[in-house]
Amino acid sequence: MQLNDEHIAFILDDIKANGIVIEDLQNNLLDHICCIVENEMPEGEDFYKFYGCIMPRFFKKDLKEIEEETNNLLTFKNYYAMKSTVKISGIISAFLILGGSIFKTMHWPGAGFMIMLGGLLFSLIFVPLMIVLKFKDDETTTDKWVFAFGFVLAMVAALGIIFKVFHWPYANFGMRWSVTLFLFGYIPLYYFTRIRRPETKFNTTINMVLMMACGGMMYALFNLHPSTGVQESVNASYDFMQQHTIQVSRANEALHAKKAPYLTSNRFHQSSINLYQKIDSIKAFLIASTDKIPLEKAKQISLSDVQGVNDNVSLRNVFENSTSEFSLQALEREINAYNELVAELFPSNQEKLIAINQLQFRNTILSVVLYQLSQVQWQVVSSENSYLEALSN
Amino acid sequence: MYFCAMYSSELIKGTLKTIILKLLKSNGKMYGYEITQRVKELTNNKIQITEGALYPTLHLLEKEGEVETETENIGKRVRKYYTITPKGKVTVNLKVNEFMDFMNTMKFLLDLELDVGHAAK
Repeated sequence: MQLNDEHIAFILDDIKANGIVIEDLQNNLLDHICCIVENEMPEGEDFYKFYGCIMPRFFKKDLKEIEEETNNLLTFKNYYAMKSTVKISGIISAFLILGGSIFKTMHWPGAGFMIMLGGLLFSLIFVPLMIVLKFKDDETTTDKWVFAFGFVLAMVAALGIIFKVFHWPYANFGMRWSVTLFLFGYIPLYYFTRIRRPETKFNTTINMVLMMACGGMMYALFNLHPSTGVQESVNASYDFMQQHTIQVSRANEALHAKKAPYLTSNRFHQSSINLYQKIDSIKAFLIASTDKIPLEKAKQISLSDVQGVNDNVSLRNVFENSTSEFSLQALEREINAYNELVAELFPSNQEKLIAINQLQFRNTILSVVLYQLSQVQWQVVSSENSYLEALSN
Repeated sequence: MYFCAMYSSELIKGTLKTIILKLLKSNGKMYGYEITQRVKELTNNKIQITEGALYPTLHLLEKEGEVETETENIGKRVRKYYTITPKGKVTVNLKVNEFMDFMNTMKFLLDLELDVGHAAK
């Protein structure tokens, strides 16, 4: 039978209506069907009836299957390559992370690079490919989504660890949220979607216990603060210095009154008092802001009673990045003014200058900042003391 | 789904690429329907490639560079001819050799040479 334009238009419309979108495939099928009709249709048979009879041989359920199969083949043509990439990237990342950790423990060079490379391989190649492969597996849709969720959490956790190792921002955010969601989201999901199946019941329970143990340990490791012993020694050292500074400061007042007649100027004494008091108010303000307590109470509190000694978030907001009168900026201004006066009054005594650049007020925790502020106070009172002592009676 | 034949689909799964490439190598340029008819003819209807298997595989072979295509307008419709590329020729040789090796291994494994026709004792 010779097909006319009407027949061809009918076949093409039917192919499109049945979900074949790829133009190339439409043309292939159109030509194929036309060939069948031209070569196999018996004389005198109705075209539409014959067309209805031959179409089922193209599919099991519907014609769209051919397009889906084509897409599957084209998309997953590298399925085996993907599988070997998963294997290789998994093994290399495991060795790099393990090796990097050993190097880090031994303080050998290259540890950071190894951990970063291993972590990036794991989170950006291994895990995403695992998700793609999981979706290709013959598992239930629920299982695929649950595993994909777990893999995404693993990816975020790994990136969080890399960020942590390199002291980049948002490391804690990524690590804590991923492990929290892992413990309270993924594990229950994993458990309840698999426990009812007799064939997976035992393994599900075992895996859940292992995952909870690992997740719990990870969680405990995130908050790596100094040990209690170290913290106590820092507190004792701080209190000792604070006490000593106050004593010298009082001694200076008495000495100043006694030696007033010999002083040519009061400016050094005044500047020392100003800086000393400024630091006192900054310390009280930082403690009050971190512990959310009244300023008056913060002035009296000892370092061992401060709750947020390891805080760095509030510190960043109210001290490092602030412009208030209690900010790092304000402190630097005050120290610079003090240094200028010292340079003018004692040109040959450079050791009296406060080397603010040698102090580390940024990216650190409250106890370190308080300790360094006390050191500055100690230098101020010591300098004044030596000046007053040197004055002739 | 992919093969209608007297053989089970498990048995001949994985040979479709080899069949298509070998046919194209022997016959020059061919179009889809022609390939299915040629296979039917050569195998006395024992193997019939279905359209659901043929076209996805042809698209894949084209993407992999194993075959190249040219089109011809026949009235209102377009016919796509497939030709094997040099890369495809290398692949088909490898695949045919691999298949022969597999058949020899199966012969040995199933003891076919010693007891043809009564392999399953």
